[in-house]
Amino acid sequence: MATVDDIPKTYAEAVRTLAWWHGEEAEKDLIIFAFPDPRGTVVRLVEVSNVFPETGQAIAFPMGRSQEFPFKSEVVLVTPEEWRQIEAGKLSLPRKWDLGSKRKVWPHEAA
Amino acid sequence: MKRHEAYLKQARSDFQVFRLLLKQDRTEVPECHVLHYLQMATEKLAKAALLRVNPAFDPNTHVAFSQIPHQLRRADVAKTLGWRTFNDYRGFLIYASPLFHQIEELNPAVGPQRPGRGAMDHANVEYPWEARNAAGDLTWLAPAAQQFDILDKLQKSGSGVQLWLFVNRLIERFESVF
Repeated sequence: MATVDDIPKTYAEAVRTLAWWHGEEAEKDLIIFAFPDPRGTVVRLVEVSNVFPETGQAIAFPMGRSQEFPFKSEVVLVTPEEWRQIEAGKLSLPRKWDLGSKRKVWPHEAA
Repeated sequence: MKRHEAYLKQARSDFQVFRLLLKQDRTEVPECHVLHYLQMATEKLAKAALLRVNPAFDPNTHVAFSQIPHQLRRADVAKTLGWRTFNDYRGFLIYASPLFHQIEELNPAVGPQRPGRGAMDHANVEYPWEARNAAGDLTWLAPAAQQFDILDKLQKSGSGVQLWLFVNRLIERFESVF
């Protein structure tokens, strides 16, 4: 169980925390992009890696708020080829996700 | 409809309900209900697959989903589900294998049982069980009031999200796999 210090308190902390949980144990080629929710309630990540299966869709894994992660979250796994298609507008992101707002959050710029 | 097709149909429905429950906040829908649907969907999906591979498979057992990492560790399955290489797919199955077992053990009829005690006498998502509290006294616990660490693992680990994608993919592409 997470200690109080591990529980993200702000939206920015929640984005960093979820990206770190997924990035720290992943394959080296993993890249994670965050798509900020203007209301600051849903953490939205697209994770890109060659080890993921190619599905031809951007399917979100949705989770509600919990005591340990008090933000809703949606995570999409895609391959590099699917990510290229998303950037080219050939593969759709989930509704309300704005491609123009994406921000790379893993690996950290300093890493 | 054949027997495995009926199991698949029910697995698809259970999985849809799991997704609906998962999206809700845990204050609204306790973990046990979300995990109950995940456990039921994956058990029926596994039974559909095992019956399809071997019509003599006994679907009355609750031990099914934990067999999937072994039974479906095949290059043709990897390709049909979308994995780029068999090595990547095999690596996922090996890494996520403990999660397959943990999800299966959410069923009260599976998992560790103390000698001399019946089924359901352990942490599970359906029925109350007896356990010792912090003071060492025996007390009864209700699943709805308990935290299970599997949702935490599904959210916090990359392999947890991949497991969700694997189940989703197998449900979608079942007819192409078999």
